[in-house]
Amino acid sequence: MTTLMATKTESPPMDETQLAREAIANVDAFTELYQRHATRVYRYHLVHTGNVKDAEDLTSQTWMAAVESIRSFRGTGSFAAWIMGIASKKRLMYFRGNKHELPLDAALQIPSPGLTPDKEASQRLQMETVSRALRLISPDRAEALILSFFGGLSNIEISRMLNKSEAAVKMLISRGVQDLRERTSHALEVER
Amino acid sequence: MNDKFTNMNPKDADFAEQLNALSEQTHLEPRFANELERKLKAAHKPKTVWLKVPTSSILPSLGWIALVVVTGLALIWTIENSGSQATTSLGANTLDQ
Repeated sequence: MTTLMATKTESPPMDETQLAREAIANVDAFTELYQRHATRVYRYHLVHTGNVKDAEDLTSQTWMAAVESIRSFRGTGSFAAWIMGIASKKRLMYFRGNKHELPLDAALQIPSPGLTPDKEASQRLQMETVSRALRLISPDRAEALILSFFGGLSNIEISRMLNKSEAAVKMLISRGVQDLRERTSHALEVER
Repeated sequence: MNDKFTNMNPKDADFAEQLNALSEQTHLEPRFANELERKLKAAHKPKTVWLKVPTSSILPSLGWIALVVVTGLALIWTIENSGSQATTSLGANTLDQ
């Protein structure tokens, strides 16, 4: 289960708040935050949109909004939750348009350094399957699941973001996983 | 143990681990990541920190300075007043003589 915590170990929470405060005046501190959290933002957008181009565009919009509003970060929650909150708003704006009807097949290309072309293709198919299936389950469950697995947030952080109790979030994730498993035609087979 | 998996049956837990593995194998394209980093650096506008000392530590000092100035002005006013009174009374004495 150590791999399950990998996203969290990328960003030790000890100095995050201090780093975010320094980031107001210090570009290097902001860059450090970006390097720590860019991947989780991208994963979140990729699984929502199922489209690399739009995921990159939304990732870019999320971080540009973050650099403009870093002064509003109060440090009451984690920086990860704050940046995922911005990502969520950007995603909602994206889905208000009709872009989400774009077919996945042509656009989804997931660059994964170190993967052979076969594995990369397999991963692309798996992401496509998951992305499609997520649109078929309840939006609340899908969002909780995505924030947890792809956004790398803890249940407490998700509960604050979604204004729900921690127990409710656990239930949403648990049911979401069950729904998603039932809707994916085959089990994911990912190289670990 | 991750708390995400505590309520799940073995099938769901296994699926959840696979989801997690899929997520961890997804990375930003390095060229895009570098380009975005460059844009962010250019867009970052550092807040001008002209006053490094916190306001809370300056306020008592400012209070003391204000008090000294007010006391000084009061002293000058008192001295000037008493000086002019002394001149007036001296003038009155001269006239009496």
